[in-house]
Amino acid sequence: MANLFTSTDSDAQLIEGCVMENRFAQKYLYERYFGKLVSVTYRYARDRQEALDILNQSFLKIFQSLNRYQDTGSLLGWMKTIVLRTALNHIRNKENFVNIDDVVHLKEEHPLSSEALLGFEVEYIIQALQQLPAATRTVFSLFEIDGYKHQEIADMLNISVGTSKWHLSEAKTRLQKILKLRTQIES
Amino acid sequence: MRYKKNKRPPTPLGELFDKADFPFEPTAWSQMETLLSEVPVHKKRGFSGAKRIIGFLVLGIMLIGGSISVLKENKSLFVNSSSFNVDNEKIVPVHFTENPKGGPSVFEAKKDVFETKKDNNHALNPIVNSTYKSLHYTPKSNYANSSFMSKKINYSTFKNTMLSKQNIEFKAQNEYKLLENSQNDNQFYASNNIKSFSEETKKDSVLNTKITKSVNEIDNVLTPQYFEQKLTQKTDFGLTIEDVYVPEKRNYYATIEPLTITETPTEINSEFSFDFAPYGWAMDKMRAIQRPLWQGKKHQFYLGYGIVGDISSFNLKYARRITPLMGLSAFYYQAKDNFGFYIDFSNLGLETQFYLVNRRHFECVLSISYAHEWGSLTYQPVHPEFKSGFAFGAGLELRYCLNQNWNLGLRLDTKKELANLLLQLGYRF
Repeated sequence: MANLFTSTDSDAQLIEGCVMENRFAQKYLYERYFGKLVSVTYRYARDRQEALDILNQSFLKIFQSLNRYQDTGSLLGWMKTIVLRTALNHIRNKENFVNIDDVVHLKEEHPLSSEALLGFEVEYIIQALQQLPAATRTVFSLFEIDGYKHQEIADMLNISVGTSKWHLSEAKTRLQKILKLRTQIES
Repeated sequence: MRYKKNKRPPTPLGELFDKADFPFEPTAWSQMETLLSEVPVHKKRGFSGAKRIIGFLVLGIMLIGGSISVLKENKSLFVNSSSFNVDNEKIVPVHFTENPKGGPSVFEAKKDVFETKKDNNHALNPIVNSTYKSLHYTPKSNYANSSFMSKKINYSTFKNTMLSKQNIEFKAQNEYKLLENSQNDNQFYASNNIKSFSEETKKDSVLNTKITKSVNEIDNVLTPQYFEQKLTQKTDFGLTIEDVYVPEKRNYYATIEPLTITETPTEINSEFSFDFAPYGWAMDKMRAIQRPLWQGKKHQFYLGYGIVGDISSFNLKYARRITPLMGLSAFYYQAKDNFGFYIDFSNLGLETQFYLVNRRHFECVLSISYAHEWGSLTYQPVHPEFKSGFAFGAGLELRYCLNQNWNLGLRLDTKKELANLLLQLGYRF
């Protein structure tokens, strides 16, 4: 197969090549958006390999859907949506989300605010997130990073709103411990 | 699960992650490549498994039904054609000759064929007077065994046509002949007819007038030479008056020139092809039946259908799986042995192809198709019953991808002799 594409081609050209199933075009598009999209999968996966698996599954769907892509919005945003849905499907298939009806255990105070995490590097936050249980990590990412509301998260994960809130609280509590421990080690 | 498309305000952490850009990992791409090779990006177009099975069953029934009808009709390959060709466009399926030696010819007309029945109501016309039930033949060759030859030439049809098309002059001619014959060898028969004629004409004044007028003109107009000419002039049926008017006393036999009739057979084609595409290859073996729907002197229509067994590498996950695919195919029109076109509805229309062909000595197919492959190599053995010996066609097809779905193709097939007649259904994966 002749390489009719270069890594400097525009998105539109690469999309056209991907639609024609040109492997080079696929590679260049993959390479171009790898860094941005893997940051999405990293925060939902438990480790690097799972993150790459989710990313590749997402890219497969992207390649399959590119012929239907309409150049009306951000390509990155469109791809991120696919990656996020793929990640959630992956987690739903793998994890059993249990409703926690006893919200008495919900801590009233969240010792960790999301702003507190802004002082850390993304890689560092990801490492901390990957130490959380899947459900807790997912709720935290959806709420604090992707900006979903509890009701939306509850619908997506088929859990109650209370459970979503509990997971968020639990995530913050655990993250605080992890970060505190990390800070102590570094100091 | 439906996700709301509302744009949500970015969170501080979300903005932080949006700025993140992880370095590209070649190992991730190698895994992606493996995934792409295992799962085709563009899913195989087609119906779901259940619909494919249903379609396959329907086609199977059609094939079985067609095969049964073929076997039932005739064991030879010249079977069940609703239409037939006549060589050199001459419509002379039957030819009567007098056997000079008095012995049987190839197809002897049975005696009862020419049974004559007296009918005084039509005594005017000796042809009408004779009720030729039908012409039977004793077939001695495959040609005679064809559906056409088993048909009876119904004299009543012939008679009605003759009466409707022939004017009174024609009747008079026969009367003249009757008189002529009566003078020679059957005075009683003639006189009896004349008597009946007189009685008949009395009842019908119009007819009486016409007949009288015609009879009066016989001596002036219908000379023996003119009459001979009329006798040998062929009618719409390709028969002469003389052919049909066969007095019982004369020793006439019907013969047939066997090679003057050719039928377009129902064709049973096999084809093996190797198809190649950007993402793999396929080998398919096709078995197809094409039945003539209608065939005229210069035009013919066919309907073809068949099944295809397919082994492909298009999907490694299911590699080397034999896939029954629908091959309902080809509504076909052909201007006799020359240019024609056909529409191939392979895979229930999802891989429609339009062909323009010239298949006189070779087959050149210009096609535009809704398919993925780039081209194919085709090997087409001729059905052994079709022709003694072994002939084959081999073809090469190249296609230019107009876009994702449509290809413009050019195919060239070499043919040997009767392989020209084989109609390739052109099924392509």
